[in-house]
Amino acid sequence: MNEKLCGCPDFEKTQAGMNRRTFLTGMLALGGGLVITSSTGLRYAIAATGDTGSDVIITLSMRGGMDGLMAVPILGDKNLARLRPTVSVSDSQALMLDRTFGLHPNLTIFKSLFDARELAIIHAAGTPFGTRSHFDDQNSLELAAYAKPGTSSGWQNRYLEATGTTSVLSGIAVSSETPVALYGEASTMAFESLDDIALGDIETDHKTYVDTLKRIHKRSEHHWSRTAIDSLIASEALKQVKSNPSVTYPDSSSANRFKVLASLLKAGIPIKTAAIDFDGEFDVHSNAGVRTGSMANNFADMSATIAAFKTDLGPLWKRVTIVTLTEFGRRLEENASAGVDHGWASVMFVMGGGVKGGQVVTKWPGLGERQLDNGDLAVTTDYRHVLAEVLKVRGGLSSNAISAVFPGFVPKTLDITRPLHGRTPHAKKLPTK
Amino acid sequence: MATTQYTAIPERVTLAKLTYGYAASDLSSIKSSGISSWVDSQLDPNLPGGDSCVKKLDGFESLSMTISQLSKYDPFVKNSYSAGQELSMTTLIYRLFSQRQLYEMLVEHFNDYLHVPTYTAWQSRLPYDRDVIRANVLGKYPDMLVASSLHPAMLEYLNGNDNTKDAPNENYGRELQELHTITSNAGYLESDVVNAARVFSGISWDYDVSQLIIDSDSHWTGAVSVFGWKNANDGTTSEAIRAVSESLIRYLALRPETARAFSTRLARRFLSDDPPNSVLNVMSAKYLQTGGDIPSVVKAMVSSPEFLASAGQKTKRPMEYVGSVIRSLKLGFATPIQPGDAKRPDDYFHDSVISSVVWYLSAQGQEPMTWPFPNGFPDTANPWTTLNGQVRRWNLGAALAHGWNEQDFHIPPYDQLLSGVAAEPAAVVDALGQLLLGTALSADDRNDILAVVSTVYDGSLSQSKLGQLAQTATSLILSMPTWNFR
Repeated sequence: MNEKLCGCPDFEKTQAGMNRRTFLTGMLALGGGLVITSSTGLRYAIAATGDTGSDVIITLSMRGGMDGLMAVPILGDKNLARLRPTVSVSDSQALMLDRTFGLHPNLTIFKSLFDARELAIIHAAGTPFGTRSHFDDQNSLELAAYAKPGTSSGWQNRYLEATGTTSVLSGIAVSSETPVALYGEASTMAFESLDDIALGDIETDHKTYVDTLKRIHKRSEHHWSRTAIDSLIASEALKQVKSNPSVTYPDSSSANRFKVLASLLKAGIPIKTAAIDFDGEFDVHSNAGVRTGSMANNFADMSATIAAFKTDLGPLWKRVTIVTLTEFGRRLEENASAGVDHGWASVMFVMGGGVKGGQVVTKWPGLGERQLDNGDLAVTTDYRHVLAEVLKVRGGLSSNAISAVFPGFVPKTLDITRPLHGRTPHAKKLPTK
Repeated sequence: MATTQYTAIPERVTLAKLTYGYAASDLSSIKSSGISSWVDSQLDPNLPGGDSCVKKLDGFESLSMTISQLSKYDPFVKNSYSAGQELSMTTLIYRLFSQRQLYEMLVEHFNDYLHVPTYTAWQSRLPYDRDVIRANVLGKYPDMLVASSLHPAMLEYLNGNDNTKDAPNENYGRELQELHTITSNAGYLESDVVNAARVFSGISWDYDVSQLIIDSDSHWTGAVSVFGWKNANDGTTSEAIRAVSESLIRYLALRPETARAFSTRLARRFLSDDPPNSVLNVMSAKYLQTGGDIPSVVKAMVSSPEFLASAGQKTKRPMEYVGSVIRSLKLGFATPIQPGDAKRPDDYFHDSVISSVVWYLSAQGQEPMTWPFPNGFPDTANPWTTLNGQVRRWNLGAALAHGWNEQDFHIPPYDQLLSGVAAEPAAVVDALGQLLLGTALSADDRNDILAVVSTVYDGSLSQSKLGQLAQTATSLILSMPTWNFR
């Protein structure tokens, strides 16, 4: 076959010496990373954090299916001990939460937050229909529109719409891609590193380049051009944000994402909601490593990351609420490879300065054979109850607005949050459970 | 409404819409052959040199493997993610290098239409592209649809494998009507979905033996009706069960509602987000008259006056942006196109330039065939009009125009692209405007671009300055709104 037919004579020419590192550097340098989705007609506006009045609602997603019983084991349960001879920590190793539940020994900051009443735990929580499919359950979890099939927007984006925000900086995924939960009409942005979000340079000085691009786009009323002007303004605004951690974060990609978010919050970027994926191996079909290995490492990283984020935020910690999510938990009985297969219910952590913490909220379904759902911990608390309360109380949404975010869903109060504008009592004065 | 600076030179409009990008030589070629015979040749399975880039695909053993062979193919067994990546890469080689550009665009379109993500069923997704989409794209849509209904990739993705009479799974029965044929506008009922699921119950793929299994014990028997189609459905042989399912698919595929939906989706791909009724009527009639013959409907669309009138009304998706930069600037590859290294399953695609292009697309959300829903990548402007996409396009355009990512691409061959043009700012800007946009720049745009290009000009007319001037000018022209439309 004649190469020339392809019009690419240089194709066969090869260059040795390219390695993964130079490739990645090249890509990062040219790719940029900023995603800001701008709705028609909306214009970038910046306001100081605090003007918004509500919390920054942060989701921390454990994609892959995080087991809730490794994170928060039920103590003294014969079924758990019997069915998970290798994939569990013993009661004596667990950090005690109350007489019923413990924490994985590596979740030390979670224990401190729980004791300081800034962490609430919701157990046996999950999606209303467990398909045990990563794809289906993850999508349905993020869309959160079970009563409205065909919905293509995610709940986090509908939350932004409900707040009436017009800022292109109000919703962010600290990620290379926009997650489904942020799909929709409201403006959102996604980037993973502060180094990635800037418009590069060409031969001219930067201001001339930006002004030239603006002028070229201002001549058109096309949606593309209007969005382009937003892009330029936002990209320039975010360039002022410097990475300025006040603590040393763990050396992990999850920690880096929280570091970026903290920089943005400290710079006063008016973020209302943020999505972060925890970068860990949760899909532990084999060698779960709950004592040492995969899961133990996940929990250690998670704990150290949250600890650093809290310290880095300083007083801003009072204005964030973090909710953890996962598409499903794992099967109760471990498999022949010292792993656990896909299950249903898991655990959710809700933490922040406005959380009514120090409690494990659960309608415990039990681990007896007939109490399980196809061998899995059953869901007794729909995850939307947790999100709805957080959005209502800490996000300041009305009940009507909540129905727009979670169509067809009637939330019940779990009492895991303090009122946004109410007096915040000193944690230690709260009555114990 | 798109604003455009395209002068509607018919040959340019045709190439802008029906290729992944074109160079001056492509324009001369379509001008000499005429649009209609160019389109005919694009849809000719025997186009000389049509698969001239097959040589680039020589090392990709997976392309010719059966499902059974793929199930045992070591690099994919060790890292099943590699299978999807390899399909992304071979797909990009076709899109960037095949002479049959329109054919490749149609292959992309039907991969979106009957979408199965690459990360689904790694053993069968490559053969799905080859045996269902490519094998039928120059044939009739009903045949493609029948092939997809029995293919393991679709059986896996839309849960045909889980669909039995006792535990029905309605996923495929619903999407067949909602997405692949009549669409929800047709007003089918939930009972139509249930009945369609019954028709397909018991049809599954057994990966252990790499075989289609039609199990009469799992098949729901008894009278069924779907959107006006009725069948006694009382056969118990696998031939009978298969015949009933095929009968339903062919019925739905040839409904006028399907003709309309098929035409709308095709016209949305090539004309505009909201294509005019007049062209849809012509295309639908052609569809019904030819039994869903894909090339006939495409030709009816391209020869309509609405086709040329829709110049610049589509916003390029990331693939079309990346493809058009590479093809229009005749970018040369600095590293080999090569299949993965079977000895390094954890880093299978190390240092292949095509994996860099996959990365560009992935970063903009359009890695081939990875859309996470059954409806295929969005084909309207808004989902792709994001700040992320724009900043990335500006930065990528500038990098490619300057040859900054030299590990992947050579600097554009400006001496060749601008042969005979004086190394002087106005001449370079004007020539590049013509070359890339096919028209003179507006006076305002020209002034803005010229002002920047002039800052890198020291008054020397030496020919070696040409490339420097061209890099700056090209960066700015690639950042214009017009470059993002087709």
